[in-house]
Amino acid sequence: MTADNSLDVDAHDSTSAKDKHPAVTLPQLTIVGIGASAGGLAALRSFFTAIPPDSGITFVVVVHLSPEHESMLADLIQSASAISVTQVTVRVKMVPNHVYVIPPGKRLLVSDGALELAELDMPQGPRMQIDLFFRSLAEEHGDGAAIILSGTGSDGAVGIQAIKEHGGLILVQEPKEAEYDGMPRSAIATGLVDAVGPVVDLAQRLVAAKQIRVTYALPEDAELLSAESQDTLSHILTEVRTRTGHDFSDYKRPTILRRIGRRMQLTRQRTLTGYLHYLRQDDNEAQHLFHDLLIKVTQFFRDSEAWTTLEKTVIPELFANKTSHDTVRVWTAGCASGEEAYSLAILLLEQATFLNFGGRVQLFASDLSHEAIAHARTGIYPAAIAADVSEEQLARFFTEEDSHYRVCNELREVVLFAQHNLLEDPPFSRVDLITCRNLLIYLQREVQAKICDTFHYALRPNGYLFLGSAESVEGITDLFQVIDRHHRIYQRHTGEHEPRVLPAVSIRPEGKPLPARTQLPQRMRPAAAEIHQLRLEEIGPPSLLVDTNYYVLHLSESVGRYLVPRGGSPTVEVLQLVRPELQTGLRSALNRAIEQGKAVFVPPMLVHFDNAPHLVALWVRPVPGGAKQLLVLFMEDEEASVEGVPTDTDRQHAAIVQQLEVELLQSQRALQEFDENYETTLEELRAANEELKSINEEYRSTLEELETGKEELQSVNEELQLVNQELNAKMDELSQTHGDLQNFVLATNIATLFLDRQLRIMRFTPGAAELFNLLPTDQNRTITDLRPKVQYELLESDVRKVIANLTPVVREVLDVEGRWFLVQVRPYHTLNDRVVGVVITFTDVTASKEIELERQASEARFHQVWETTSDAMVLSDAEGIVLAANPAYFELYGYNAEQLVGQSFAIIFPAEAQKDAIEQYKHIFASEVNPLAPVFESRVERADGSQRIVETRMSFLSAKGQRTAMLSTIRDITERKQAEQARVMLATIVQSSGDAIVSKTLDGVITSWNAAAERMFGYTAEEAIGQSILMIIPPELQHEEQEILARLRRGERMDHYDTVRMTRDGQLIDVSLNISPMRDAFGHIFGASKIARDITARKRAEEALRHLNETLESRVHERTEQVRQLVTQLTMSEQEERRRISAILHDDLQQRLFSLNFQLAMLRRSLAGENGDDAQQLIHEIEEALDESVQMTRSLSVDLSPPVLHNEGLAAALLWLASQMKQQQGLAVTVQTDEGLPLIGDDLRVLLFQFIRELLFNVVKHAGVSTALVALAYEDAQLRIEVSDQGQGFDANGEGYQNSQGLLRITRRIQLIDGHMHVDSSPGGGTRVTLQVPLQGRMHPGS
Amino acid sequence: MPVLLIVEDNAILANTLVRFLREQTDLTVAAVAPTAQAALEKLANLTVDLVLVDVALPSMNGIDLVAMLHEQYPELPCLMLSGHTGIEYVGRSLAAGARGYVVKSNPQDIVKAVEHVLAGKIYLSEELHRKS
Repeated sequence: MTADNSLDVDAHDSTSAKDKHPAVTLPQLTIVGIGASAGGLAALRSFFTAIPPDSGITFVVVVHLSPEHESMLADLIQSASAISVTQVTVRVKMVPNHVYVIPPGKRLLVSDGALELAELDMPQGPRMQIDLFFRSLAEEHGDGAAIILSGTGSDGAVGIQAIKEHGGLILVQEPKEAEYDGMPRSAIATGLVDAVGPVVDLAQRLVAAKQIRVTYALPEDAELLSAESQDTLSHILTEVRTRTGHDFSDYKRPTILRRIGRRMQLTRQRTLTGYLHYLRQDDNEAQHLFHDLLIKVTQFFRDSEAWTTLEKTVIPELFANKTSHDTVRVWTAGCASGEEAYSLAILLLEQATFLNFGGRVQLFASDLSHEAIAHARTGIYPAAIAADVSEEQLARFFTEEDSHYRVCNELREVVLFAQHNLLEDPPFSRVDLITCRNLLIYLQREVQAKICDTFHYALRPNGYLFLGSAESVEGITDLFQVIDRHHRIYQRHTGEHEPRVLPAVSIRPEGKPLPARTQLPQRMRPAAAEIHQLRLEEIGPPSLLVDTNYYVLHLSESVGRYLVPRGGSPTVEVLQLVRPELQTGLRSALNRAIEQGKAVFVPPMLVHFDNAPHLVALWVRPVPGGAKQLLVLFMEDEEASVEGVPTDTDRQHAAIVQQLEVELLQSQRALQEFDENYETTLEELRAANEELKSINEEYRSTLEELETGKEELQSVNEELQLVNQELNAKMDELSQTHGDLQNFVLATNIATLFLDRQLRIMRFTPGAAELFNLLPTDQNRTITDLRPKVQYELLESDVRKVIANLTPVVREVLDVEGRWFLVQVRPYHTLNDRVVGVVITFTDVTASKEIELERQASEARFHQVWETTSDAMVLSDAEGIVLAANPAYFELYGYNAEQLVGQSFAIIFPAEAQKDAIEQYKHIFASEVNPLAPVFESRVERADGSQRIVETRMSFLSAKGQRTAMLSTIRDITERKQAEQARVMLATIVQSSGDAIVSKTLDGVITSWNAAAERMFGYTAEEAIGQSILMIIPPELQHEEQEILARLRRGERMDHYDTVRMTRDGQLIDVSLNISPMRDAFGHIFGASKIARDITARKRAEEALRHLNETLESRVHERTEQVRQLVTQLTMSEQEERRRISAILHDDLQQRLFSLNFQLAMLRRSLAGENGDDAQQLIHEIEEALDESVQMTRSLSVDLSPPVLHNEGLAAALLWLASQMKQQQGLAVTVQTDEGLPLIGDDLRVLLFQFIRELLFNVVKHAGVSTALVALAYEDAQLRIEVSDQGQGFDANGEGYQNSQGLLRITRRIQLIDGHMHVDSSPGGGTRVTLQVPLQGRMHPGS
Repeated sequence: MPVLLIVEDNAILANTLVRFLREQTDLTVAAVAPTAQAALEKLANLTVDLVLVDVALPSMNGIDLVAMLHEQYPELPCLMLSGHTGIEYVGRSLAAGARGYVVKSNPQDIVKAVEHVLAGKIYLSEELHRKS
């Protein structure tokens, strides 16, 4: 709360016209923030059901919503509420009588009377939306209210502090009613909550408080209160003081009025008088008000800039010049719930760590509020402090507990908390730094000055003072100099010489709380005893009353003459007042009286006054009744005075007296000096005493805390004792269990090993020790470090697997001695079901393992036989139901296991035979005699209908003398039967074969000899068998046999081995041999079969045929070549002929005709003028005829053999041809030729030219068009010529084409030069004729 | 009186032509060469005003001869005489340096051609004009 809160004037103000003045700001309750989380929906619904639609309040609901899901919250609240509810989606101006709901994944802020959305900074971190919203609400609308409803965690607990600090109301749902009490309890723990109750109550209180606000307000300034109200206010403060022992009269009035106003609002009191009445009536209200008056809200590192400055400029200075024997002493005054003190301690410890400071750090934290101190001592703060404290600091100085943070011991031990009244109790002393933030502002200015004095006293020279942001010492005291004005850091002036005076702060008797409603002592009338005393005094000797400080408390009327005033300041000290002669006697008397506590008499002393000597005796006695007061009586002996008249002897005496007096005077001076020294010492002692008081205060605080600690320790001790007893009982139980287990382990002889999660050995049994060579010292060693006897390489991975999956692993392992162990690795569950390791047991299963292995081997052997035998086997019971059958069985019958097993074996028989089969089976099964191996041969039908011949053997399985099953072994003998047949057939064939068939061993010894062999070679079978095969081989070919045998051994077979063999009578015959190696069942070659055929006749015929063939072929070849040459010659001679004719025409005939022309010209000239016109005419005719002849011969010559073709080449010739066609036939021919066209030989060139001309004439004759295309291309050593037109075309497969002489001629001739022609034409579709001619070897270098 | 060299392998035609020119024109034929080789030899000792060259000659043809002559005697005009009317011969002849091309048909045409060429003009037979 700051002092400069704006004033608020309310038109509907006040019931009292006298109090109509600027009002203190009371919670307007315009905006109410509601924080809720788990279980909050029900609470919200019932809350809003109880809120009337015209409450005039704006509600903002902040809950923790999953950012991933849409929220229905607004709709759900709306259904229970009469007020309209909206979920905030954009910035929205708040209006009264409306509920705003936070959307998922965002946080809400208040800004300029509007709600704004912001992103969540830490979506994964602790949820703090409520705190953040409340803080923002507090800044903007401090006069609102915060309501905390059901929820886990502690969100909101920090935010409500901000609200409270700004003067808002805090309401919390009753934790017992809340579904989850985490948030309500955290909020209540702050001690700032105004009301706790069921939500419906909260709603009603809120509405009621809002209405109070509307009808009442207090003035801002107490001066403006009426005298009556002033009086009431004093009464209220007095009431608080008597009830709580704390006096707030020095606090600023506006603050007090504001706080009282808040209480009035909550207690629904409309006048101060009413509230005073309520305060007196209600036992707790004084405490509530006291509490409210003390409200101080802090947070860690509040006003962080100032703290940073402090950390940078002041903290290092505190450690400067300190050794490890020194202590850094710091005092946080008004520490409230401890945040400020811990913040400071954190900085100090960090600095100490940084400097490696060896000395101590001591922080005193004091506050007036006992509750605040208790809270601070626990050191528990909501999770939201994470926003104020850095991560490193959180990690180092706090431990996380549930949703709270607790300060760690290191931090806690540095801080001493004490309940302490800054205004009344002696301060701590020799302090390096005092922080006192936001406390002075609540106090009146004079009191501020006093506190500054106190701080000045408490600080060491150069010590620092750190105040709140709105506080200052400037203008209050000049004891401090400014270090940082902005951040309120001050330093004590260095003046060491200044008196260390404890300021007189203690201006009232130490407040001890009076019993409730005790009346203040009233001034009473004088009592009778007092009157009596006064009278006695009138007649008694003069007397005075002093206290133990020798201060005069009371004088009797006549005592004045024994007193004499001294110079200097007036004093009431009796020794300074009495006549000097009496001073010494009185001092010692008073001392003795105080020490001994009884009356002391001082004999008469000579005192001169009133111009006469007087003998005065003193009587000092303590006042009875324990009061530290003493009564001093002055008694004068009148007679002694008379007796004292001088005589003669008196004169002697006088001399003596005079001398004595001189001595006395000297003594008195000595005494006076001593007195003065004494006074000085006394003053010093007093100062020391005051310091001791400060130290004492410190000890008192420490003691208090120690006592608190002690009590805690005692209760903890008691608990511990109880726990100890329980533990003892458990221990007994455990040792019993342990003994049992020990015996059990030994008895079972199962080697057992306990490992923790790091695979360290925690415990093991003797058996395990033996297996792993473990010694007791191996405990805690890692299992993988050991070399066990068991061969268990997977141990480590198994253990890790079990720890990871929690599923046991079972294995069998072998040890070096050949023993088998069953290993079981199981997770080790503690009683609370945590897995802390594994238990590994090793059970010796060698015996059973051997049996098992043997059984497995046997089983494997059986299985192998069963699976692999080619004999079908089937096991069936007495009824013929198939129990099992092997793969060979299924294969034999073509059924599978599903079809057969569990069924009668008979289903493999045809339906009509099944019944018989079963009966026969049963008969055999039941027959007494055990046929050792009955064998049946039968024919069976497979599933696919094919037939097999089988041989069946039966045997019986018995148990306890009873037949239980029959094992039938069925062998498929179909092949064997077929082979037998084949052998018979083969023998017949061999015998009847026309070829000699002989077999022999690899040594060449004949082993068989058929009838044809007898005939071919002339030896009978009897003669030949057993002889060497060499006997039929001619001597010169004997080497062949070696070669044949060698090839046979290599497994080769020889077909059509044509050679010569010899008969018995020496005749040689041509034979063709087929020799094959013969192999036994294992594939080994043991001999050869040899088929010999007499091929003498065939051989001759073949020779003749081959000869004929060759002749024929060479002839065909020759002819073909001849034809080719002929064709070429023909073409060439045709050309030659053409050229010859052409040459004749050109060279001879033409020249002749030309000459004739000349001669005629000359003739005409010679005839001119002689024989008239007839001759002329005739000659003219001749001339014309000649001319025509010349023309004709010329064109004939060219046509027959275009000179360009011979001189230029095909392409040029084609261009010429094109011009000819255009000129003579009117056909426009386009010629396309490839660039890379090779030179073509003379003959071929002529031929191709003729083809093209022929084709172009065809176009002229048949196509009926005036254009044609000739294209020449050369590719892949082939010349490709295309002649095409767009004319009417023809059916290329029809007769017209067949009959075309031109095309037929080309076809025939082009084939002679290995080329071919392709015609592509259809009626109406034009014609394309393609000629392809290979040019290989036909290209001439030139022509 | 302009002097001509005639290069013509056909003796009949050559004689007729010589007689015709002597009797009917005022042109003088200095010599007749039956081959190109002979023509070159004659020209080594003769000075002529014009060479009349038959296109079809044995061994070296008339066009090649004209090319040589045009190189050796750039001022000496050559006139081609040919039985061929192919336009390609005409082109090649003119390209080789001939000043005219006259087709063997009408004797008067030859005379006209010689006169034109001697007058410094290019002459082509009328038949050729018709064709092209």
